[in-house]
Amino acid sequence: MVESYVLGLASEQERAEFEQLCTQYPELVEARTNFELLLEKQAMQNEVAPPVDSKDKIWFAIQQASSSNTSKIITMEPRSTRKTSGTSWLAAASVILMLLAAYFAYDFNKKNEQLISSNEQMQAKLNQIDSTMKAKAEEERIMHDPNVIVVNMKAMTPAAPSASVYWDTTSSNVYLVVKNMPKLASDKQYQLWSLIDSAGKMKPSSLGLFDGGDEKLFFKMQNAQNADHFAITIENRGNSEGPNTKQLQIMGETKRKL
Amino acid sequence: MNPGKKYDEIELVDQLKQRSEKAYSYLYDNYAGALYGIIHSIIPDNETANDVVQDVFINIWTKIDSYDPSKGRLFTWMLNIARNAAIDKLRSKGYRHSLKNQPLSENVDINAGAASYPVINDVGLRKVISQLKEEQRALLDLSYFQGFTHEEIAKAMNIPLGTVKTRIRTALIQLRTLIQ
Repeated sequence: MVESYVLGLASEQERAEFEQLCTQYPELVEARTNFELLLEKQAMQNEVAPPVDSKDKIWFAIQQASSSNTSKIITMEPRSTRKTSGTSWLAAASVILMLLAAYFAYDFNKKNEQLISSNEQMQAKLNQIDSTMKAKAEEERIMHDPNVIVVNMKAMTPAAPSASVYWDTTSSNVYLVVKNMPKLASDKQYQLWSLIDSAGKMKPSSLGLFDGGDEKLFFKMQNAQNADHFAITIENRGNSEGPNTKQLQIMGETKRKL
Repeated sequence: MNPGKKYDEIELVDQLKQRSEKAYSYLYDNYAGALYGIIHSIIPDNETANDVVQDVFINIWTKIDSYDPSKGRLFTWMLNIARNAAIDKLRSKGYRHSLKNQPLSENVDINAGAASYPVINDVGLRKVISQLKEEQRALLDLSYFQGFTHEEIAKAMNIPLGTVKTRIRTALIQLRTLIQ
C-alpha cells in the first residue's frame, strides 16, 4: 500500500484511505517517508542530464507566463493642483465608468465560476445516478433469471435478521438481498456460509463477511458451486475460522438435487 | 544566483511559494537530472523527453501552492508530476503519430502502447524492474511506465481484477527489497 501510494499507482479511493490512515498512525508516515527516500536516492543515482539550454528556456517560459498574468500598474499623479471644473467632472465620470466596468467584469467572472461549479456538481450527481441505475438493473436481472434459486432463510433465534440468498446455479454467483440486518457492534460482522450435507454432517464454506446496517441491501458474495443450505452467523470482525454455531442467525435449504 | 546555498525541504518549498528565482535555480540544479531520468525511462525519444521536462518544471513552478507536505515529500510530488506528464505525452496522438509503423488506436490499447517501442532497460527503475519475474515485470511496466489502471490491465490481460491487484502488490514488495 505504501509503495503503491508513493509511486502514484493507488486509486483515488485508496489514496484517500491511505491519507486518512496516515493521520492516525505515525509509523505509517515513517514507512512512507522511508520508501520515498529510497526512491529519491534511487532516482538521484540514475540522473540523466537534460539539455544544457533547458534551464534557461524554462525560466524564460515561466517569466513570459507570469508577466502576462500580472497587469501593468500605472501610477497616476496629478499634473497640477488646480483643475478646471470641466476636467475634474470628466475625471470623476471616467472613474465611475472604470469602477462600473470593473464591477461587471468581476460579476461576469463570478457568475461564470458559479456556472462551472454547478455544472460539475450536476455531472457528479449524474454519474452517481447512473451507477445506481446500473446496480439496480443488475439486481433486477438477477431477480428474474430462471437459473437463479431463491433461498429464503428462516430465523434460528428470536431476534434474527432477515435476508434471502439469490444463487445463480449456472454461474455459481451468490447474491445476498437483505431485508433486515441490524447494525452490529464494531468488532462483529455477519458471515454467510454455504453448507454441504455429507453423510449427515454439514461442511461449511465461507462466502464472505459483511456489515449490517441499512446503507447496503444488496451484496455480491463469493461464488458457490455446491450448496445444500445457506446460513448466516455473527462472527468476530475478519473471522478466518469456521462458523460459530452458537451465533447461527438464519438458515435456509436450497432444495437442489446435486 | 548562489550555487553554494543549500536548502532544506521546508525552506525550499517556502521559497518556491514566494517565487524566488534562487529557489527555482536550486530546484532545477538538484532535481532536473533525476526527473529527466524518470521521464526518459517512460519516453525514450530525446526531443519529446526534453519537451516534457520543460512542461514539468513549469508545472512545478505554477502548482507549487498545491503541494501539501503532509501527503509526502517534495521529490515524490515532483516525481509524480513528471511521471503523469510523461504518460500523458506517451498517450497523446501527436507522439503516437511521430512513431512510424505503429498501429494507431483511439482507444486505450495495451498492445499498441509503448511496450513495442524501444525502451532502455538498463537504467534506473527499469533496470530494477527487469530483475523481477517476467509476469511481475510486465504488470509494473503497464501500470507504472504506461499508466494503465488496474481495471484496464485486468480487462486487457483477461485476468480478474483481484489477481492484478495482488500481483502488483507482491511485485511492489519485491521492488522495494530490490531498491534497497
